[in-house]
Amino acid sequence: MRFRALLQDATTLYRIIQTVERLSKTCILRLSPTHLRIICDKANEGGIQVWSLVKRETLFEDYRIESNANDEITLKLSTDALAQALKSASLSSSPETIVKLAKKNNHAVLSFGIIIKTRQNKELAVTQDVGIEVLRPQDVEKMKEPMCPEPDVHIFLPPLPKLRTVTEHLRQLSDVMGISANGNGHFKLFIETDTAKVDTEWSKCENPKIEIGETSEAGDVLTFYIPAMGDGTDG
Amino acid sequence: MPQNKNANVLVAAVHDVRPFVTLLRAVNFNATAAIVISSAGLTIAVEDAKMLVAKAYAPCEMFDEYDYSPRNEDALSAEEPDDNDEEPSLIFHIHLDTVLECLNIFGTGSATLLYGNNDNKRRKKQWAGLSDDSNEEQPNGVRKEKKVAPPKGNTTLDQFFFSGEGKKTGMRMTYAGQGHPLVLILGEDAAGPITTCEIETIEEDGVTELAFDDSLNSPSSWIKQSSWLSDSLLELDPSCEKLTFLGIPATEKSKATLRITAEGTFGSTQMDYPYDRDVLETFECAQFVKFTYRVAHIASALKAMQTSLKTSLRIDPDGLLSLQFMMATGLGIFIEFRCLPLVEE
Repeated sequence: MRFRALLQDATTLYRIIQTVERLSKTCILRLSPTHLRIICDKANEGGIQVWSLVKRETLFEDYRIESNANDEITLKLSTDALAQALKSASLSSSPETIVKLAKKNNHAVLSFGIIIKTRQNKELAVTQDVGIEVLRPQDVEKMKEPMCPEPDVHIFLPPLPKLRTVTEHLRQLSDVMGISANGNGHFKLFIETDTAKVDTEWSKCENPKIEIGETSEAGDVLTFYIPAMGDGTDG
Repeated sequence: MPQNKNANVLVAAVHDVRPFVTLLRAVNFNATAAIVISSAGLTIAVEDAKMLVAKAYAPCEMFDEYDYSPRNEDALSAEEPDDNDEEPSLIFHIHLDTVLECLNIFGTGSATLLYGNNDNKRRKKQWAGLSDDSNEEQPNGVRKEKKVAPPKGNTTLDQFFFSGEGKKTGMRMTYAGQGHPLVLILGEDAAGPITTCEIETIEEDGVTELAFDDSLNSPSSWIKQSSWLSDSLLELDPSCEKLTFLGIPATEKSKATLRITAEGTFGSTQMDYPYDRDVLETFECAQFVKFTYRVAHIASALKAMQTSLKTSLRIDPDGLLSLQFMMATGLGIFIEFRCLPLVEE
């Protein structure tokens, strides 16, 4: 089992891990010759799952991977530790951060070789080792991306900062929020409590035409699966 | 749910909710507020243990559209405040926090640009007439974009309340009568999203009235800048529980003085407001008066004090304190706090 690559874009990877860090203490990295998958499965609280697919070229260069399981390696690691390592990698002056699988003191680690320039223009080599657990192929087999039925509606969300503001205020009023959308460009967030019923509706959202499976083929996507508490038809 | 639009007892619309939000915020010291609707405008009344009653007056001129068409049965069943005119008014109670959260749903309903913010520095800067054009910052650190729009509506009000221009939340408020929810329809612009809020109203007794004895000899003063009072109240030691107002008449040697004293664990504080045109616009005090109030009650008025221009302070012969805060000039928008004194041992 070997893995060594040059991490070209530590900043992007850092941002992805920051997002994941808020949801889960551990995440799974699945490296294959073509893609990097970052996965948070059911284990975390709140039940939100993240399945992301990033093309190898987006982040890495000089990429070498070998294993007995179709040249795929699956690792489980702490999101916090990974975020720390990526933070210093993203601060690095040179894009030459080397990521490799290594063994130190009998522990498997993902080692980040980072070069940082000091004020005096001297180069410092920093190594950040993140402890990992290599998952067995049979365990990896069991991990399955949630199966969603074919969606009834595809809709582009309204501008995210606005959506966030509205959500932040609705959160003050209720623990549970309802979402509805239709093929006519309407998108609605609503809450209903004993004290108030509030809904915010956007019209003129765009309904993209997406064939099934198209998104997952495209690459460089983060998919969040948020469990629903009901379909809202009773309320 | 009101099915018929004509069934609405109240329709009030405004293109920018911030002045209204400011009024509500200033009296938001208790969970529920009574809203009294009359043809002159809305009164938002909040009370604390029948010791303190705060009323914020939102006159109909504050709204772009205001239509109150009382139905007879509602007006009869509603309690009428004693000191009001003969015309029928309607009362309902509501959770103020919920209303405020709804009004600020787009993040542009909050009057953070107001000079009387909690943030002292910003307040002073804006008081000095410097426009603070740093974008409104949400607690979560999200910066919101501001677009410059030509000033609309009441300029006096806008000038007073805001130093910056930006997106505004417009509101249409309707109420269909007792037992119905208060409906707020909010939007920023024609293209943007529309929020509909139905806020449940609570049926409760009317509003506690603390009648102010307007007879002679009661000390009264207008303090030229509300901040002079609020700043000194903010200086008070947190251990102070009681606050004493003294009205000292003029003597041959000294000017008439309004004095505030407070005693805490670590010492006492005394603040004097001499009757000087620069400090007190008017000050009438015929005889020595001294009444003590709970700091917590006076502190409830701090927010209103900080957002207002001038403060009027009056004490009636029984010690009932009336603090009136002028929110903007010439529009009749003001907030009044009435507070009963503590009985001296």
